[in-house]
Amino acid sequence: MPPEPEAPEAPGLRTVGDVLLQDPLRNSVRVLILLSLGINRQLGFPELLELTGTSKGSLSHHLEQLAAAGYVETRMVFTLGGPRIRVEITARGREVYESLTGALARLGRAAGDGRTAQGSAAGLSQG
Amino acid sequence: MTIDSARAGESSAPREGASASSDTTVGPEELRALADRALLFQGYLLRRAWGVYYLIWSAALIGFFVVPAVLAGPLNAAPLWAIVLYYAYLIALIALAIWATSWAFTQSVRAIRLRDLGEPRREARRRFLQILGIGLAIAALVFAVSFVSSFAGLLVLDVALGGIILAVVFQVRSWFELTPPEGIVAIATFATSIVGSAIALVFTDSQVWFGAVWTIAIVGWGFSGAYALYHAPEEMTAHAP
Repeated sequence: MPPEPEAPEAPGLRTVGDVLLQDPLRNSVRVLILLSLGINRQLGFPELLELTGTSKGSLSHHLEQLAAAGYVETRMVFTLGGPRIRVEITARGREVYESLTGALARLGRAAGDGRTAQGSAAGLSQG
Repeated sequence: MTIDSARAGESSAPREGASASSDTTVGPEELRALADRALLFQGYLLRRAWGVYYLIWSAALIGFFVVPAVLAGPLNAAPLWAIVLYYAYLIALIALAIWATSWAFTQSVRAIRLRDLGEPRREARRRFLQILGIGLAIAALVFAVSFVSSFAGLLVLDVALGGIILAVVFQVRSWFELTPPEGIVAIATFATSIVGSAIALVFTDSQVWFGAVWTIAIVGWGFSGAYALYHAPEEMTAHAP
């Protein structure tokens, strides 16, 4: 019996495969954090809680993983409402973010079915 | 709506409880889903930024139109230092309003960049500087004209503020498929105040009536700001796949 052909590798991910295979990014929550930090440069801890929908302890763990990999930096800032944790993407994290968005753009072109981030946005509508 | 109740409706949040021990490589479909989630979050930040923008402009409009209407009489007989102080206060107000405008604009650009995946940062910075330049030019023109004639200065200000409506409409429509309710209220009340104040200025030549008509926009934008901030968390759930 001839061997079954391998499922074709998703186009666009080949160049970012090494990045996603690294330990810090082998987790959807951490990838999501990096995507959002890439566009916003820095976010507060409460905003990241809103983004990820995880618990505080879980989020702290993910941020520690990203910081250990050098993708983000956390610092305490003092605001009118008291001390707050701010998370900022580093230059290295920015490179990873650019790889991710490049892969997303190529995935969108390869799929050609409108299921890209742009296609998703086009479907958004205010009720 | 509280953030917790909005979160209860979420369906696109990443797997809860994911830890190092359960990590798996993110595949193409999941990467797309995560980008969609980031997009929803950006919509939430954007609507929140718009809420702050409306509130700051509501406060600024009080300073632009209500306070001068109240001070019009006393200011005519005021010493030079009081007039200088008054104009310094107006400049500070304009600076604050421009900052709020640039912040809301920056959030818009970031959201659109994520959605469209690839607009160069250089392009976004150039557009921001263009808008900042236009704002400063308008402010300088209004002040220059108002020194010659307070009537003409107010009329020029009215026309210039009409440009703000266009900027708001452009920014809102560049992201939202349908203009959100607070956007409709903001545009409608602002347009009403511009037209009404110009009419009041021409037919009554009264700064008091001029300021009174602008309370329509002040109340409208205050409402829009509060509405946007209250409903911003809905962006995370209303359009979740």
